[in-house]
Amino acid sequence: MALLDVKNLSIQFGGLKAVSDFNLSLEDRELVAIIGPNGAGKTTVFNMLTGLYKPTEGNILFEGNSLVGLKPHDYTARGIARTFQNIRLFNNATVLDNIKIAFTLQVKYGLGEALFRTRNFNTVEDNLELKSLELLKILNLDGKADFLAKNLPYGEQRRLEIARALATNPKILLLDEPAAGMNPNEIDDLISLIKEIKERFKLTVLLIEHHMNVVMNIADRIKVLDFGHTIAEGIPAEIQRNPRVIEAYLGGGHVEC
Amino acid sequence: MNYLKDKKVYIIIVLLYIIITVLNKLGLLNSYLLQIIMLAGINTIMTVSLNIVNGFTGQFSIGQAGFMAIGGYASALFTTILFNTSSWPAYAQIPMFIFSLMMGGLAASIIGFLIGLPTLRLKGDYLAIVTLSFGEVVRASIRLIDYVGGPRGLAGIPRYTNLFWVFLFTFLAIYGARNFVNSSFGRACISIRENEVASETMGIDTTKYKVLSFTFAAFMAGVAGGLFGHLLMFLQPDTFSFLKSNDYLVFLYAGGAGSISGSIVSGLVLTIVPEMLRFMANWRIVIYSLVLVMLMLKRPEGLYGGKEFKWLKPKKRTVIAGNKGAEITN
Repeated sequence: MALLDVKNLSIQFGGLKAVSDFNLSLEDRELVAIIGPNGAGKTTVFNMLTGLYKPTEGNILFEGNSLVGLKPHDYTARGIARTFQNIRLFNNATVLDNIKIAFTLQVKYGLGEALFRTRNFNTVEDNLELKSLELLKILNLDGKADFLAKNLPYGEQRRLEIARALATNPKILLLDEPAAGMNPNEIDDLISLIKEIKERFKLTVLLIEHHMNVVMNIADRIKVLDFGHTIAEGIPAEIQRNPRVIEAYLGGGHVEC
Repeated sequence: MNYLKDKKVYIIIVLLYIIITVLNKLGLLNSYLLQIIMLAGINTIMTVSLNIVNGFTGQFSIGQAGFMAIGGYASALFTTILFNTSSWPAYAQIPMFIFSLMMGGLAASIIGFLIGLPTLRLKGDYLAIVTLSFGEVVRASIRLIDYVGGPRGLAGIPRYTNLFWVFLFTFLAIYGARNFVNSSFGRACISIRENEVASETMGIDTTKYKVLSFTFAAFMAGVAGGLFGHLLMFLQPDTFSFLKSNDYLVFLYAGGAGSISGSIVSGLVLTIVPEMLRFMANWRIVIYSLVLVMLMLKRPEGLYGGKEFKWLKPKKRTVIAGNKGAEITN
């Protein structure tokens, strides 16, 4: 059985059908990329897969259970985490606190214990700090633990987004344009980072990306969206040769003078 | 020596209490000034409680005096209406007073929970309107309840509040707020303030935490209301009008939203300074307002915006963590 099974997912905003009949089956430990021109509905798919938008039709089955209708935090609790294309960090919190916040689901103490600082509280908090620092180290951010998130350079903010998503202990990680705004060196680092965390955290990854060298390098399979419709699907080599994909990206051959 | 350094704040608080008591006993601090000091403590509790909702959770609630009224009346219910505790022996009065304060807090937090559950789904301005109306509903309802004195107010409340209780509960409020903010609960609230969408996708049940912070703050305000009633010995519903809520909003933003230190400083200073300016008669309001305008121009984030006294900051755990971390990597 597939880890994630998305069936005929559609969403309509007023008269606009932003995504229609999106199907996806994600096997455990797979890395699938979604590509497509701007406005194709890629981020909308992510928003539906994380509960931010409720699909008008279709179903999302995660480990055999339907997730449609649940709140976004339920999606996260079950193991779907994401990053955002437009970075959404907790800006006025420190880098360390950004991670600790994402660990909230795993924190086990009551309000009373927190207010009176019991021994259990202290143990849990010590452990939490340890785990958070370890995670920051993996993403090469441990030197910046006490910085406010908003004061990090852009590339590091993107990495912090990934670190924060990892802290929720996901099975599936959704990355929304992680390479946006990065220079070629940073992109190379990102590619190895994604490969590394995928192995280390045993992740299944769904990726939206415009940089083709990222996609072609790491994706097992690619889905191409255009105007909300899936126009192609296959391994990278197939997609590169697919005439419909080329048309969607470069425009059709029909020219009127 | 290190021990003394660690506990410096507690020692200062105790010393401050002793100094004020001695000054009062020597007749250098009359009961009027003592009352102002106690009101400053109560106002500090109120500002800290409002800070939890507005400053840390980022919700714009503007009816905090409503919770204060509920707490004040609920606690007076136990000491004055249901039981005539002023005729009780002293050893029974104090436990009853503490019990009534807790009941005041509880009543306010139950109402806070009931109000918060449906309304905290609203955002920004809408929540402000609802909380504003809530405060007025409380005030108007109490006016209609003859059992608690209606518009005439409730007189004959025994004066149980003294400097000791004000010190104790102000300290507990600050201590509780500090511990709340520096726990997973407080961090979840801060994440809602910073970015609600991201907070949800990090697995945080934002509605739950908003209701929690609202309820927790209502409890504090309720206790403050109980202290207030047992200090003034009289409660009148119109005391808790929007003007009172407004005072606390001013205290909060002048001190700095999201800073407990700011709430303490502004709760104390903004209660005491206007009283000291009384010799200027009506000009004091003008000066008070001008000072606020200047403060907001110079420091729009408030006096202590984004800053905290050292003793209000969480203890650094990195030392412990660093050691353990080294073990793991080896």
